[in-house]
This record gives sequence, structure tokens and C-alpha cells, in this order.
Amino acid sequence: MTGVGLVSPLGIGKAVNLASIRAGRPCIEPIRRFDPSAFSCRIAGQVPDSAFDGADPNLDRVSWLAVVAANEAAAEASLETLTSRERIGVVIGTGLGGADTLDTSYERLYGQGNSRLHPLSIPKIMYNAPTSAVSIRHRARGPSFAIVSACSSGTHAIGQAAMWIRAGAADCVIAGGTDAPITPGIVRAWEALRVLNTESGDPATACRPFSADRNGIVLSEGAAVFVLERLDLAMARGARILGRISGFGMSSDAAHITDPQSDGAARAMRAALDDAALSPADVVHVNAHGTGTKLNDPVETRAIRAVFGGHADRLAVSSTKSMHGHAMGASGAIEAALSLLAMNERFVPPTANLRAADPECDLDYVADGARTLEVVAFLSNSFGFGGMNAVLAITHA
Amino acid sequence: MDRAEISRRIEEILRDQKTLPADPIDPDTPLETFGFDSLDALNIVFALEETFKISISDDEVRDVRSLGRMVEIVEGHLQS
Repeated sequence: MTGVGLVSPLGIGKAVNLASIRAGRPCIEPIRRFDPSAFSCRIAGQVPDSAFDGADPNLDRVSWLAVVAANEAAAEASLETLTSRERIGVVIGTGLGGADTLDTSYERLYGQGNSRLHPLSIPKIMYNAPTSAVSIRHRARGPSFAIVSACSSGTHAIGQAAMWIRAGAADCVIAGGTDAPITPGIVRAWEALRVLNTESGDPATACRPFSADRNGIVLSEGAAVFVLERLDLAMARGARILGRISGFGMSSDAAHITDPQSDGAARAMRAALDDAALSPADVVHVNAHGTGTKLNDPVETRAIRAVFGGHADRLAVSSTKSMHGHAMGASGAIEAALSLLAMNERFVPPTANLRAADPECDLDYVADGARTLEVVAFLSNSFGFGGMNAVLAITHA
Repeated sequence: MDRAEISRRIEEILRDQKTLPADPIDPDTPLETFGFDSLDALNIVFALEETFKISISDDEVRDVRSLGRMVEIVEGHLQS
């Protein structure tokens, strides 16, 4: 990894995101993009409005967020100096694509009875629009497509990028995840699943992964994008190596469309460790999927215990979703980015808002704030609806 | 609405789409000269339909090539 960029509810860019997780500061707020007063869920993680200053009107929010993150990553990696643009690929994951444009178009069509939709609706809605927007702006002429695997999309995309490099399909890949699901239609649809946070108290304390009194998912938006390069080429050009994607593990639950299974999660973690040639004892930190739903948190805890055995009690397990919410297909990329940034600053991010843990959630969740710790290897877990699991094993440069 | 007013409003639409020279837009200059591409043309047609509450046919879309031609198309719709 030679570049990373992110835009999340914690802020725009690496520096402010890093400061937020170091302070353990949740950035969940009342929904401001539409009037949520008639909704049972009225809070979300929202990126600062200034992220859209100068936004291209021909792109949906989901694509613009990917562009913002990719620009930061590309600048850090000095991507413009690479001369073989046909060896640069792009793969961006998204769970819901151009949801804002879709929602706005349907409101116009069915709500207002206006049959004339914006002419760019299709290119704004399509799931590969973020990948395309990044490819065009960075003249990346190698392989490109989008990945859709619900909440695992970003993690799958980064893993796919590493596989392209290993396979020789590209020397450099711009990879990550993006989602912008804070629209009336999408929030209503999530409400119907009855897994959204419906609290009316302080939004900052609403998202409480692993807590006995957790109250569900807080939706959010954002993007994180990495520049991955073949190690020998990156070193030859003198690029600063931020960390290595040492392993990538995937599995399917093949059991239930929404209920997560600890066996599937465990198999993905084991596959990532095997791929990286790491033993469980080498791993210091896990950035958990940690959604704060009744089902996920104990299932993930059991999976971590199954994989790590006695070492599980020595792991620092964090859910940064407690601070930035669940950015769907972007979440895995955001979480990998946050733990990478923290690793390079010698700490692990905390799990905010955890005071009394669920008895079934009995690991060390770094509940007492950011912890100074030398991390040489960490896992970043994503377990998406549909039973699609993806885990990255990331090691220090 | 007279021809001058139609032209003024269309010029506003064009300037919303792209930063153009401050000089008045020559009615016969092809839009491509200003850097408008096929997607820009679709955005312009959409804005014309919204602004003037008209419906531009697919055949007419192909004809949206200059400020002068757009004024004629809009004027035709408003008179009919």
C-alpha cells in the first residue's frame, strides 16, 4: 500500500479521521439530508457537506466520495508519475450504488408524477460508476470493474486488487469501497428489517457494538481508497510503503441471507491468516465487523475465539463503527484504512460507547480509549448480508 | 416570450453547464466549439424542457447543435 485516502463521518482526509479515532470521538448526528421526524431511525453518520464542494453534477454522491478518497490516495502515492497507465487497475466496491439518484428519480416519477427523469440517471446509478469516475480521473487504463457484496464490498475489492497484482493482471490498483445510502427510501427499507438504531437520546452514544444494551446499526456514508502496488516496483521507484496486504480470505455462509454464521466468519479469518502465512499468535489487533446488532456481535466473538483459541484473550478487538457508523460497502475499506493509519502511529483504535459488554461478547474490545500498542499484523473483518465474508490480513511495512 | 428572452434564458443554461467566454454567444457557432460533449447536450436538452415546460423529441435532440438552432426549436414549441 503506497497511498490511502478516506472521507467518512469522522471527516475529510486522513489527518482528521486519525485524530477522531485517537480521541475515540463518535460522529453520529441527526439526519440532516432530509427531514427524519416521521422515521423511527433519525440518526446517521454523514460526511461533512464541504466534501461536496466542487462536486461533479454528473456523478452521484457515491461516486464523488470515491473520487475524493482516490484523489487523496493518488496524491500520497504520487500516482501521476507512473508512466504505464495501462498497468493501473481500478476496483471499487459498493453495496448500493447511486442510491441517492435512484431515490430522487423515483420520488420524481412516482411522488411528483413527473415522467421526465434526468438524462444522466443511468450513468449515475450504475454500480460501476465510482470505479469509472476514478479510472477516468486518474487515467487508469488497466482492468476495472465494481464489486458488490453488501457490507463486504470494499474488503472484497481490496482483496481482489491484491489478487490482480499477484496474478500479473496489473502492477498497481486503485481499490476501495464507497457508499452513500442516507436517502429516505434506503433508510425506510433498512427500518423494515428492524435492525436500525431507533434511539432518541444522544446520537454520539447510539452505536454500541458488543454492549449488553446495543441497539442496532447506525447507517453512514463515506469512502476509503488505497493505492496498491507490486512491492518490488514500489520499492524500485522509492515509494513509501504504508503497509502490506499480506493475506486475503473469503468464504460464504451458504446458510441464511441475513443471519451471520460464526463458521463462515471463522473460515474467512483462517483463510486470510493462511494466505499471509501468519499464525494466530502473530496477530495483535482485529478491526471487527462489529455492527452493534443483536446477532452479529456474539457470532463474530465466537468466530474469533474459534480461530485464535487461547490467543483470543490477548487480541485488541475494535469496532470503529462505534464512531463512524456502518457505511455499508465502504465500511470494510474505511476500517482497514483506520487501523492501518493507527498501526503506523503505534496505537489501536478504540470501541467507543462500550461500558457493559454483553456476556456473550467476552473479548478485549479496547473499550477504554485508543491504546498505545505496537501492531505488526492485524485483521480487518467484513461479513456482508447474503453470507459473504471477506477478511484482510495487513502487516507492517 | 419573445425571441430575445428565449435566447437570453438558453444562454444562461449554457453558462450554467460550462464556464464560457464573457462575450455574447454567437448563435451559429457549433456547441462543440465551446467544449460541450454528448452528455452536456443531454443535460442542456433536459434544462430546456424544464425551463420552458416543453417536450423535445428525439429527432430534435439531434438538432441541438447551436444557440440559434435551440432558439428556433424552443420558439416552435412555445408557438404550437
